[in-house]
Amino acid sequence: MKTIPRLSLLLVAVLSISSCKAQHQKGPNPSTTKITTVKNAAENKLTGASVLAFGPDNVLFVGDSKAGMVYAIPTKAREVKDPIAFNLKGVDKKIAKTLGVPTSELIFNDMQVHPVSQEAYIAIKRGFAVDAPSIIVAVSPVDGNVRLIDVSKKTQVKIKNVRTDEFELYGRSSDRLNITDIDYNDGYIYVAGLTNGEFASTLRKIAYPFTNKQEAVAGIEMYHAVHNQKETRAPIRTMAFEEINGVSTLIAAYTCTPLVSIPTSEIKEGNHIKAKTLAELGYGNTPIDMITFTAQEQDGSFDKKLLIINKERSASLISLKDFANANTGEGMKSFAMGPEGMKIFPVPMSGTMQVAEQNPMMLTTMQRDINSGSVDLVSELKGAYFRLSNFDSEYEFPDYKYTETEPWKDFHNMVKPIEGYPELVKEK
Amino acid sequence: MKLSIIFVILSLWANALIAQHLKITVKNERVVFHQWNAPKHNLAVFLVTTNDTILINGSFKKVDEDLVFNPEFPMLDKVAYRLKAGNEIVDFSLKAKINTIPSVTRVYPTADILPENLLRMYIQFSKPMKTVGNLEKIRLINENEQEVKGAIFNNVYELWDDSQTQLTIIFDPSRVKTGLVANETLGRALQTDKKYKIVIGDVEDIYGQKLAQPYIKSFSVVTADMVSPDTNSWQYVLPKANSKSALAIHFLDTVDRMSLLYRIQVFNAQNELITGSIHIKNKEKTWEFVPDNKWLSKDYVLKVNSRLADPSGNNLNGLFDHSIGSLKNEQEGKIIEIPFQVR
Repeated sequence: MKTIPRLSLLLVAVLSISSCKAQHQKGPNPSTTKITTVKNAAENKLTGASVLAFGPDNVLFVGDSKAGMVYAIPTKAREVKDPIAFNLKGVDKKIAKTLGVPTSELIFNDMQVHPVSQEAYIAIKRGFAVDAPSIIVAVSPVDGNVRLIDVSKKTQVKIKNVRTDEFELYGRSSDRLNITDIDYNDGYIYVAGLTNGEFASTLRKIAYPFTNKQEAVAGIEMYHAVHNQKETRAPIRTMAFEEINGVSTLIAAYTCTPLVSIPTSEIKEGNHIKAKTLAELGYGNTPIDMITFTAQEQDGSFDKKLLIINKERSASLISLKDFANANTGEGMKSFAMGPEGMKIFPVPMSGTMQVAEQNPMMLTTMQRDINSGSVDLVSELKGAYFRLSNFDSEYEFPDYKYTETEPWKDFHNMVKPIEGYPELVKEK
Repeated sequence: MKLSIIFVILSLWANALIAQHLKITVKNERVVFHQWNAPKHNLAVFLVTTNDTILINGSFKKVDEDLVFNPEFPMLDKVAYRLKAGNEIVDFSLKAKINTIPSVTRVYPTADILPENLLRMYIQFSKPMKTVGNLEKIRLINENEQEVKGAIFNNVYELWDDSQTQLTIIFDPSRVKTGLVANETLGRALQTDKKYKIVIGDVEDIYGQKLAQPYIKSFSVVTADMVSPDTNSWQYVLPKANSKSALAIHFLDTVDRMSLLYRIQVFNAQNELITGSIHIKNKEKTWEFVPDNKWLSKDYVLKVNSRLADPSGNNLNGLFDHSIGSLKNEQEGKIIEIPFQVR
C-alpha cells in the first residue's frame, strides 16, 4: 500500500526530470530568447495568398482566392547586386520555426523573387483550418534569414466574379474563383483562374493603381481555335507578357496544354478573342509556372528564353526567337501528342514547385526533395537548369581524375562553391 | 544535503501537479491557464516536435486568477505545446474542436447512370478537409478492378469551396473533348456500357484524420450527352399566392449541382431579388425554391444565367464540345428571363 505513492512520486520525478532534460538539451532558453520578432501579427496576416507577382515600383501583387481579392503591397528592400545563390535545404523547417508550427502545417502556394533585394517572397497558408491565415515571408539569399512581410499598407480590389455577379444569393458562399496566375503589364494586372462550378475561359483585366471601381475589372472570354475546328472553354493556367516581333503579346499556357499567343491590344472587355495556338506542350501534363528571362548562351551571346515548369513532365525551355518565328505563321492546325509546334527543350527541373528569375546569372527555384519530403530554396544557373549537387556522378568518386581535355571540370568547379560545396572543388 | 534533494523532488512533484490539475481552455484564440498560482515571470510557450522546440511568439497577461497567453498566430489543435514558467514545465495540447472522423456524405451527380462525356463531379465531405494532395487519392476503377490512369484532371490547385467541404473533380477535358489528340489516341476515360467506380481513399480532414474506410461511388456509363440544356423543355409547378409553397422546375436531364445552386434566381416585377432556400431533388432533375416570405398574387420573373450547365459542361448557350460559331451567343453568361404569375 505504502509503496504505491512513493513509486508514483518517483515516476513523476523521473518524468519531470526527463522532460526538463529534453527542454534544456533542445529548447531555447526563454530567459535569453528574444520573444518578439513581430509587433503585431495582424500586420502579417491575409485571409489568403494564392499567387504572387511583382509590379511597378516593386509593389507585390497578391491574389487571394478565398476573399476574391487582389492586393498591392508596397515593399521596401535593400539592393543586392551580387549573384548570391540560395542554398537553403529544408527552408520549410526555417519558415515553420518563424511561424511556430510544424512543417506539416505549411502550405506553400507561390514564390517570386524581389527585383531589387533578390529575396524570395513565399506565400504560405499557415495551417489547414478554414480560417487559417496566409502569410508572406521573405527569405534573403545573403544570410538565409526569414522575415514576415508587413501587409497592412496594402491597397486592394475585389475581383468581380463575372459568373456569379447576379447570383450572390441566398446566403451561400459563391462559386469560387481559384486564381492561378497574375501578371502586370502596362497599367493593368491580368488575373487567370478556374472556378469550382464551371470550366470557362475567362481572363480578368484590372487597372492598376486600383480605382476601386468594379467596372475596372473586365471579363474576357478567350478561345484557342485548333482542335480540328472545335473551340474550347479551357481556362488559362499560367501566362507572361513579352514583346514578340515588336508587338506586346500575352503568352499563355492553357490547362491542357496548348501554348498560345494573343496581341495584348486585343484583350478588351467584351471581345471574343481567338488566340493563336503555337505549340503543344504535351498531353498528360499541367503547366505550373511560366517565366521569361535573358540568358547567356555558350557562345557568349544573349538570348531571351521562355521557361515553363510542368507538374508531370520536365520543364519546357523555349527561345523567344523560335516563339516569334512560330508567331509569324498561322499557328498549329492539328495536334500531335506533343511536345511540338516549335523547338521545345526539355530541362531536368521536375520536382520544381516554383521558379523565378533571381539575377542575370541565376534562377531561384523552390523544390520538393523527393527523398526527405522537405522543401528546398535553391538557385540554379541559367544555361544549366539543374543542381549539380542533386545528382550522384562518377566525377565525385574519390579516385576520379579529370582528363586534360575534360570539358566539365571548369563548370563543376565553378558550380560547386555556388551550390555551397567549395570544399569539393577538384584541382585534378 | 538530504533536505535539498527532498526539496527538489517536492518541487518537481508540484510541477507535475500543475500539469495534472491545470485547466486549460481557448477563448478568442487566447489560451487561458486557469487558477494559475505558479511563477509569473520567465514565461514562454513552445511547440514541441520530434526534432525541435519552437518558441511561439505572443504575450502573457494575468487576468484575475488566470494566466492568459495571446499568441501572435492562432495555435493549432492536437499538436504538442509546452509552457515554461520559470523552471517549471507544463506540457499540453489543445483539444480538437471537432474530433469526429470525416466522411463522404454525397458525390454529385447522384445518378448511377452517367454519360461517357462526364466533365465534373463534386465530392461533399462531412467536415473541412485538407486542401492539398487529395487528387492522387481519388481513383477511377474499371470493371476489371484496374485503375484508369489520367482520367481525373490533376490540376495544380485543387478546387475546394470556401468551407473546405466540397471538392470539384474534373475529368480530363482533353480526353472528354472530341478532336483533341488525347481523345483520339487514348479515348475517353469512360466507355459506354461499362461499369466504373470512383474510389476516394486516404483523404484527411484538417486535423489529419482519415476516412474510416474508402468511399465508393459506383456507376454505369451510357453514350455521350450531346444535348444542351434548354429552358424551353423545362416544366414548372407554380406556387399559390399567400403561401410559402415551392416553385419547382423539372428538367429533362440532370443539371449540374453548382448550376442549380447559383444560376437560377427569382425576382419580383420591381426587379427585387426574392430570398428563400433552394432544394435540389430527383437526382438533380428538380429545382425547388421556397421563399422566405409568402408569394403575393403578382408577376414574377425567373432569371437564368445561360452558363447553367449539365454535368458534361453543356450549357444553355451551347455544347461543351462545339464547333466555332455554333454557340447561341458569342458572349457567354447572357441572362435569360422567364416571367411567371402567382395567383
